[in-house]
Amino acid sequence: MKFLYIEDERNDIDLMNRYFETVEHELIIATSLGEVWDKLDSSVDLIMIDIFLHGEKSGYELAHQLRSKSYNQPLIAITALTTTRDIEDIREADFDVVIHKPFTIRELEKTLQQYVF
Amino acid sequence: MFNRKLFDSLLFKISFRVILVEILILTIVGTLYINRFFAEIDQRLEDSVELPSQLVESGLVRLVSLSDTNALRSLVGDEVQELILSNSRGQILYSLHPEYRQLDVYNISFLESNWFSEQNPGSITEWSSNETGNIIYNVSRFSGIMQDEFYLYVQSDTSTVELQKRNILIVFFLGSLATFISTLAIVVLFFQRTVFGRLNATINTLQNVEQGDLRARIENINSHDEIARLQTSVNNMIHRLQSVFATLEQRIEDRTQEAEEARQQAEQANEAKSIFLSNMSHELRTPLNTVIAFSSSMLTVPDMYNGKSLDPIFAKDVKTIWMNGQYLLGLINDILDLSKIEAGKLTLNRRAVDLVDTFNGVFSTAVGLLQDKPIQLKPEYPDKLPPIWADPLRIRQILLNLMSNGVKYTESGSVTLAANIENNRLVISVADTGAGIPESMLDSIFDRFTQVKMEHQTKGTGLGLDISQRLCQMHDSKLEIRSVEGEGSTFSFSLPLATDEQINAEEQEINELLEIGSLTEEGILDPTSYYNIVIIARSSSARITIRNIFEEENHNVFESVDIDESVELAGAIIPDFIVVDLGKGDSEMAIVEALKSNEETQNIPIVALGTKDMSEDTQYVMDLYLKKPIHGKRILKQITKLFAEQSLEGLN
Repeated sequence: MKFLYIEDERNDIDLMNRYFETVEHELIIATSLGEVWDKLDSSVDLIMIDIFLHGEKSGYELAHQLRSKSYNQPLIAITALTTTRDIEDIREADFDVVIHKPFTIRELEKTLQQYVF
Repeated sequence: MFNRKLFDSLLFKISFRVILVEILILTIVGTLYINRFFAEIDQRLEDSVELPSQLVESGLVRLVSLSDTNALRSLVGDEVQELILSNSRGQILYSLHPEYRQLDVYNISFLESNWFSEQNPGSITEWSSNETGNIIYNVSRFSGIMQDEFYLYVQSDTSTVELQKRNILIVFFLGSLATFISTLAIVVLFFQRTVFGRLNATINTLQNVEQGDLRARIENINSHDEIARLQTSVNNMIHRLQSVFATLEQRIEDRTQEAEEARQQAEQANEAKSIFLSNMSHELRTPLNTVIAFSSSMLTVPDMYNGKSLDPIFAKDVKTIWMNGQYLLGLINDILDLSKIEAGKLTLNRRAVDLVDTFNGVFSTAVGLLQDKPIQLKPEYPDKLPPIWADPLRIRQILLNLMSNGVKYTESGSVTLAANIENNRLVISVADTGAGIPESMLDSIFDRFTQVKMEHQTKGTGLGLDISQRLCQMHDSKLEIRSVEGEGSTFSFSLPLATDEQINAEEQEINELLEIGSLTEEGILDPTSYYNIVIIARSSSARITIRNIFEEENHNVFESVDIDESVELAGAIIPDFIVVDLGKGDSEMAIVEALKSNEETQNIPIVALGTKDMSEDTQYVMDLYLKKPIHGKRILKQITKLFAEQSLEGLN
């Protein structure tokens, strides 16, 4: 499976890369909204988005755009935004899962294992 | 007009009394004067009746002259009705009415012998009445030259006098009446104008003021008498009232505005605080992710490090880093929760839930807290509970807090999580066999940052019990504690059973967003039956994943790989449904078709998972097609929905 991870924090990108090196799936990274459209194509099976990009909550807008372009694959939000309002916004943006930072690799794994690929 | 008000009015009272006094005076004065007048009139009449006899007595007139009627008449006047001279034998010698002369007998009572005596006066005047009416007469006795007696009778009728008297009385009464009326008129008009009119104007103005019109004033104060002064004072008083009110109103307006501004400021400050807190939370969590994720990976995912495990000497310190990261995270979460609760912004997401899942989740997490302590974790709750009205996430939070406290403060023994129904409520308790809490501290234990001092103190945030207590309160419950020093402590609270309405509401569509993080976990409601399922999948990882999805729900899972095996297996078991993972090739589709053609197995529902977009015609073969990647829970949900629809159709 091919995963697209949209994140601007260096450490988190590093962590995700290091983890995906241990599994069979492919990971590509986009660090800004612009990069997303360059790297996104029909071969991407699942998208993980950090909502807080470059000082703004751009993840919502991105999710909305993806959904409106008929992207029906799983959308996972990985974010440190944890308030009730944020959960509401995430729900409204039509994400399927939210993983709260900080998380452990094992927790991420467990989530991904619940998917049939 | 003739009502109470009239009789209450001062004008009436004054007029009434004036009239009364007038009546009194007029009566007294009138009576006195009228008596005098009447007496005079009577006297005059008497005098006129006595005149002839006096004239004779005094010698001014001789008895002989009485025979001349004309002279007689001019002497006595017209009012004399009768004048008779008679002898002592009753013979009428003279009379004003000559026809009487012929009569011998004349009924003259004065001829009674004892009427006149030596002592009696020679003249008597009497008021009397006869057939014609009321009369007055005088009888006088004279002695003649030859010692014989003569009687002179003069009679006058009183009708004139009576008329006179009556006229006097009439005049008097009319005059009195006129007096009363004019007095009344004068009193009323004068008083009305000078006193009562102005008093009423004053009263009206004051009544207007009473009703709230502070602009009312008494008009036309055109003099300086007492009433004018009263009116001026009243006007001044109203003016004062008006300005006082205006000042007060202004002040109230000002204060209200101030209060409103203060309220807005407070709200803005509150809002700013919320925003600050959530920003802070985000800012703190982001670097914490690096700490926690990397330290846990070093400990638990050697694959990320070329398969190398950490040397124990490093592992120990890395673990410390990890645990402190967890502690920091716990603190951030607790602070956020507490401030949310205090600001009234934490809302419960209460549902009708079977809390056994929550208990199980808490239990398995608590196991991880044991840290090699010789403590046993004991579950004492049934396998199934009736739906409870509560927020399962928050209940988990409370129980985790209580369980971790229990583990923390117990060196050896057990921590028991118990739940059972009592009096229509679910009573939940966490009991430990730790050191217990001294009675003196029982009250303050819920205070923030208060922790019982212990020898081997492990970290806690100190906010946990505060938050747990408040969360209980938000569930309309109360966290209670029983503790015996040296034996242990039990924390307990109770929750209400869900009502039928709440249960019905729960069965509607639930939003499927899953939250996974270090401290929270939530699942979708699972189907309530246990199924027999056959899984057909080429890829072993897919098989394992799919198997796990169903086995987590305690269903019975069987596997097969190729066509013949599958048909045989399915024919033998007749499972409730079959799950087929369509790989990249078409071989799995062949299996599906084979199953649907086989008599024994054609009615078994087939759920297919595939990566392609399936067209309508190819889709008809299977009962349910789900596109990958798909989350396990969503598969379960879709299958549940499929069965629900099928049973509805079956009913139809």
